[in-house]
Amino acid sequence: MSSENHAIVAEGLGKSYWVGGHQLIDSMGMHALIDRALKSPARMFNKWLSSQNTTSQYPEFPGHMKWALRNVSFSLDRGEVLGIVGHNGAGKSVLLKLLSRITRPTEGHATLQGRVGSMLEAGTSFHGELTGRENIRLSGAILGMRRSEIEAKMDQIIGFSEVEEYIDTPVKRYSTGMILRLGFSVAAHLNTDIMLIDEVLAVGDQRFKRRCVDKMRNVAKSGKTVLFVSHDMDVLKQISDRAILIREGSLIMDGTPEQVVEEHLKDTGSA
Amino acid sequence: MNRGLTKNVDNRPVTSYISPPSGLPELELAEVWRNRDIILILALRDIKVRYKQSFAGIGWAIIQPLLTMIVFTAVFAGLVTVTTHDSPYPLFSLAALVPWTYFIHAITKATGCLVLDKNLITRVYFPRLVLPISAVIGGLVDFAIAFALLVIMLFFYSSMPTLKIFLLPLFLLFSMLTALALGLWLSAINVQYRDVNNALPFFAQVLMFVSPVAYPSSVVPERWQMLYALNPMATVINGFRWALLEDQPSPGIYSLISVAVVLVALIGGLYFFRWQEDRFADVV
Repeated sequence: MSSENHAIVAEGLGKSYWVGGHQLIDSMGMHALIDRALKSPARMFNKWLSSQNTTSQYPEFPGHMKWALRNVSFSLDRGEVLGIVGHNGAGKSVLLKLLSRITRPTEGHATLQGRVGSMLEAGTSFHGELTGRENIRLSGAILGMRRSEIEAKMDQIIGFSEVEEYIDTPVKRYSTGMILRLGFSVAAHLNTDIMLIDEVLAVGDQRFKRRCVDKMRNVAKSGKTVLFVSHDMDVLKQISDRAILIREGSLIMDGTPEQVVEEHLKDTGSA
Repeated sequence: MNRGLTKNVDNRPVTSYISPPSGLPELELAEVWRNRDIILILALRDIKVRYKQSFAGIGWAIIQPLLTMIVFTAVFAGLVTVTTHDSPYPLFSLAALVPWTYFIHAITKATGCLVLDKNLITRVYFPRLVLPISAVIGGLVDFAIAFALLVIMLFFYSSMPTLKIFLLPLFLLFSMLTALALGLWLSAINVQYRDVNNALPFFAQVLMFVSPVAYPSSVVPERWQMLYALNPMATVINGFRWALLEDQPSPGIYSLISVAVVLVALIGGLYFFRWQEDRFADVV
């Protein structure tokens, strides 16, 4: 199925969500559901059965299935840097969520060789009552770092985040910028074979943003396999070896960063 | 083949397979074990957070069982009389209230854990089983503090423990497994139906009446004893009294029923949790 040199092989990945409330409960209300189930159990059971494997809209219920991502196949060699381009809501984040195992696909499959680290959102695992230092330990562990690894990198992480002065203060006293910087800093010091990076992670003022992008560039050039979502076409062209374009849940182009960016900008209408 | 890849904690190269959920899920308990750091760190986080902005601090771990003991003593040793197999009533009730308070605390924390940490579930991957396990383990700190109170009470009544005390950890472990078994089911259901959180206090109250917290389980007629042992907390409490106090009856052969109940609930709970796990990030 996958050749040994491939770090990532994705075949026909798809993810659908039910939009418009929960299939039975929300459309009828919990009480109506129980009421009907008691009065005509056989009919309800049939409805329930038919709602299990549906991909189309059912007239009885206002909700319907929506594919956030469908039939996405690509492979990535070890050490390759892949840029992912697409508009908001095109399905880029869903793809990263599937590959990082946060959620499971509805169809298709993928194989990832090596430890996977994700830099998807900064500082989300932080707890306000804990200090910056305590949060580094918490966040690092959840992202998959070992305790010894976290302690060894502690000074680097604190240094990069530029919040040294407040590192033993509860995070709830931090400004939003400080939390994001610390969050990015923890994620940026992950050391895994495959990195899934979302560029919205580059946060803060212009100067820190530039440092974030530099850091990502270093990760990309360090020989790791990188999947990189970006809205900044210049950064993307600089960093990636290859790019894919996702539009409305489908992969519509796989090529050089230049080609893909050109195609993407054509659709945007702003060159 | 995997030359150049960083190794996992136990020095194995890692491959992840991503596919749609199908059939009976694998438990992957080895992966939970590999992530034991997270269990500890989350338990520590909960403990720190619980006491950080609190005036009484760790005193809360004592206040609840202590006040309940005083009220129970006033009612069940003062107003109505309950047999205690010759133990002083305060000791008799506290020996039950300490594991009981832990149990309720643990299932409450475990039930809410997935919803409370939905930020983590929707944004980072780690074995989700880590969350209820850490909730059950985190409660042990409160248990230790309350247990210290119990030890002081034992001294106060100059009640000398016997060798039976070495079996106490077994009953503590059993109460942890009971809490985890229940917590696995309740937390997974709570992700979709928050009704669980609302029903829990009532459930705890009812459960207390059918557990020998305020009274000895010997008041239950012999022909109902088997049914009574379906409640694992009866075995936990009887075990605590038997191991700590003099002249208390042993939990007896019926405790095997409790063990069977917990094993079935635990294994079923693990599979149920793993089966539901795939939707946590989408539903929570």
